[in-house]
Amino acid sequence: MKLSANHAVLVGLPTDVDRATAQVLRAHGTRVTSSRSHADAPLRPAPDLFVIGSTEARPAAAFLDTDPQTWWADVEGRLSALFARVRAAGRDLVAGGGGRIVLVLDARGLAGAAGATADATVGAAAIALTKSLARELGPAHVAVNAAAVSGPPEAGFAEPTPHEIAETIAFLADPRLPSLTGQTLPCTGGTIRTRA
Amino acid sequence: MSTPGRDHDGSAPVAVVSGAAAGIGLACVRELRSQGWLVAGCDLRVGDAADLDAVVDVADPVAVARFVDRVTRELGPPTGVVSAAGYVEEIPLDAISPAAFRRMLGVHLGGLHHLTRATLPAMVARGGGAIVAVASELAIAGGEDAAHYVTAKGALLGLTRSLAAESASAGVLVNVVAPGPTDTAMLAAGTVWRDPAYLATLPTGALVRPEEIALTAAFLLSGRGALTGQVVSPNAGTVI
Repeated sequence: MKLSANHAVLVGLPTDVDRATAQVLRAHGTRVTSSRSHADAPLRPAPDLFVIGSTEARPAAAFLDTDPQTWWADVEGRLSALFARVRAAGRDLVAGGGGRIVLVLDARGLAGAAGATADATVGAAAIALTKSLARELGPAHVAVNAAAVSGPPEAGFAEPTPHEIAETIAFLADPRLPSLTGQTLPCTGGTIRTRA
Repeated sequence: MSTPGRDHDGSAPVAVVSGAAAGIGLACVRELRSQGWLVAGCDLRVGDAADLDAVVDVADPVAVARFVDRVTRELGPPTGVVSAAGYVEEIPLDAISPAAFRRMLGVHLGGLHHLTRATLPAMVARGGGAIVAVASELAIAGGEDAAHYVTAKGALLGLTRSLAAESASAGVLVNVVAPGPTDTAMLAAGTVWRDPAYLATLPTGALVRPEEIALTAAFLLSGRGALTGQVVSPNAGTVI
């Protein structure tokens, strides 16, 4: 059984995680196309792995002080972009006979955070999307999982490096794990220990 | 963060695997050895796949401590632990005897507790290590006719999360793998788990393979993702 994907497409990841993930996957023999470096490269061979980001750094904003239209436009815009990316990936993978999707989402979607209601809302929606897609695409041999990043810093816990996040993404992308689907794995150095 | 399994002097890291003679434990022994670990296995019956195999009842803290002492002498101090020893009984709640409850707790929770007590101090002293407890998807979602099994497996989650919080600053990572129904001898022929009608209800349509659990445990022991306090559940979509 192959140890790693044939062709991975990275979309919408933070720059440092994108770079580290490409490095880790390439070390496993995977061809990597990143939307950050070659957006128009032809996708040959057909991708069997999509790593899709949905995190975007936003300044802290108290919910009651946030302009409703701004909040709504932000959440809707980010979720619409995620929807489009995930739908395109799912269609490609189903057409290609299977593969894996790894979402990289905001860990505040699990635990919430003061001043980050938009980030937490988008993160939680991405978790729900992960779960439902895993159920919906499982019969088509597409596994869907998520790495939850950007947890709250806490004394005594080391924040994971981009390379460690990339290693977690590569684990969730491992084609030898068909039974691993629908799971969200907090990659926050242990500060979040709940299960989505 | 340091890589827990790797010894400072470059020698092969040492892992202890309980339940090493069959099923998930045996798959862990094979996977860890293939990744360069020296592996000490223990079980109620002697295995033959590890670098050192011994007969140990993990519910017995003295026997576990003696075993870890022997491993330390013969292979080196363990920086990895996979607590996989376990068994399942399908019994309705009102028929679970106090003795059956105590034994279930003793093997699953006692096994993890005793192995951790015997290995964690040396890991802390060395500044790194990793522990993986094998639980079950039933620990997350519950199930019928196995309340003592579910209780014991659920207890592993609480102990693991607290150990993770307590050991993070020492560089020791503690996690749970919670398998779904896995294709081992523990899933008896003729049970619902092997019924094609049941398998068709799973999103993946198939039982979990023990090698998947072993790959997951090996990843967590490697420390490459710096994960700690997590419940990783390759479960074929039984619990999403």
